[in-house]
Amino acid sequence: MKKYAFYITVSLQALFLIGMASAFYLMDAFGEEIKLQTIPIDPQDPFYGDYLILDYEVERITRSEWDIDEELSYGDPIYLTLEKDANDIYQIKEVNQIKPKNKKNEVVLLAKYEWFDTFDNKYHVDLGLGRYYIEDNTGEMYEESGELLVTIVIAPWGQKKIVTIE
Amino acid sequence: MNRQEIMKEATEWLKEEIITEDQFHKIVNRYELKDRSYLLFLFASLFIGLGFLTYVASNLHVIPHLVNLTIILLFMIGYYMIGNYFYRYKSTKVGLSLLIIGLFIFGAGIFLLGQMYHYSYLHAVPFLIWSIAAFSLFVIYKHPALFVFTVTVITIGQIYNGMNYQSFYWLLAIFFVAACLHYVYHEPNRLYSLLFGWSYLVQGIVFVIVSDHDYHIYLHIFLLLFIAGAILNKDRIKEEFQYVALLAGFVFTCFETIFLRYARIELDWIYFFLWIPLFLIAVGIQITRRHYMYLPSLLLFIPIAYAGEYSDYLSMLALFIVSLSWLMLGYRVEDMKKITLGSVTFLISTFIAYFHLAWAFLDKSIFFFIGGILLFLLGYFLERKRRELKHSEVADK
Repeated sequence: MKKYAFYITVSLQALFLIGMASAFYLMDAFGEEIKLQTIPIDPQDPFYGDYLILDYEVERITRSEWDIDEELSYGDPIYLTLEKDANDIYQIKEVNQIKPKNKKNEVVLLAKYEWFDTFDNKYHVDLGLGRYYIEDNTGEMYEESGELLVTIVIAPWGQKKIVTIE
Repeated sequence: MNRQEIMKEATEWLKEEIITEDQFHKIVNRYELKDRSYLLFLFASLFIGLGFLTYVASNLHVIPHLVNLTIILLFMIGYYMIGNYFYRYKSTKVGLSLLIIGLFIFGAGIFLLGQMYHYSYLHAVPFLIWSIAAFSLFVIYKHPALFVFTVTVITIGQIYNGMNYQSFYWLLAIFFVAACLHYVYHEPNRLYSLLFGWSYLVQGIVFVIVSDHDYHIYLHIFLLLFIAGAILNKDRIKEEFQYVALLAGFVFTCFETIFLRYARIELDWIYFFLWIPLFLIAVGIQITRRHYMYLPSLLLFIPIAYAGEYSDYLSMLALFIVSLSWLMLGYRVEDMKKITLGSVTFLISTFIAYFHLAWAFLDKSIFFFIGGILLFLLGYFLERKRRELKHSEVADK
């Protein structure tokens, strides 16, 4: 039994890694592409090397776009409904605690509530797409380019990934 | 006692004709030379594992993604297979080292693929997956090194989660308790209890730092560990859990003594009311088991800041009472470890009290001068008492 348990454990680990790669390629086939506006900065992560921190416009939400009455705690899940503007960039439409149904030209993204910033009077949320790993020592190049346009893909199973940064 | 020590001792016995030559050899041969060659293999596996992690940290964008994936899979499966073969048929230590390298490659693989494929997480998910893999191997081989690996990955994962996501990863904590506590309870290994206690403590500290709770929730965390030790009621668990909880309580009370005077703390009474039942349970257990000598230790779990203006003096008093009770307990049960712990904590308490009370009033040179003499005298008396006990122990034997 133990002999089989070992082979099962190793196989599951291998399958997990293969699954990580497969999900990435499958998202291209089944996912929906949207564009978001950002501003990057360039720190260092001890486990990953160089990456950009991407600050999305849709992660800063005004009071008028905020439809939640309840006071949230840091890390609470929320759903952002985004809709396409005239430049094909997605902007915030509404925010809910319960997942709304998808409508045409709209996408719903799961995000994490962070805090309310009294300085800019906006709610800060996190999409979980704040990091984009880049080749070492190329961070400044992106940083100097100012605002960036990020194309992300959202898979039907909820996973999302960054496709391009321009 | 190791072979060299017993050899030295037995040579004396032989000279004094207490034992015969034959008995000398029999005694010495009972203490086999420890084979430490596995340390080399352990360090070798550690270095190779670290090599993979740095390989992850550097960039691999020049190599196609699928080639990277293939390299990781081949190395991981290769190390696991050879490790398993060695573990079962050749050498446990070499096999274990290779299995650990396999685990390192798996962990590095999660991070590397995450980087290559731009994965983002809301929590330290890679650490959860990695710890599950390590734990699965531990369940198969039941080797303590794999338990150490699992707990280390979980603890680092929780710290990483706190630092990077400013939140507490409940799923990782639940996995930690559900998976590890089972083996802490059932396997007769003191190391498991101690590791569990320390990891719980570190995770508890992360929880308090990232949450909005009053800092007194630390006491609830320490108390829970203390009570868990008492309820599980196996010597190896109780002693290690309570040792970690009490040590944490002692350090916490030291900080309170030093900083309470300067800090302006807004106290939320809800924490106090939540604390009452926990404290009563801890006291109740000690009383029902007639462990009266352990009762003073519980002073370390009292949220002294609620006492107001004189709370720093009260925490100082608590430090003295607790360290003296440990010292007395040590002498009563004639346990050198408890005496050493009592002596060290008593010296620390004295130093903190002296620093706290005299720093503002005395000239600085006199302050250090008197402080030095005071500590010297205390150290002298405690050491003399300790030596007396050690001699009487040797004489009894």
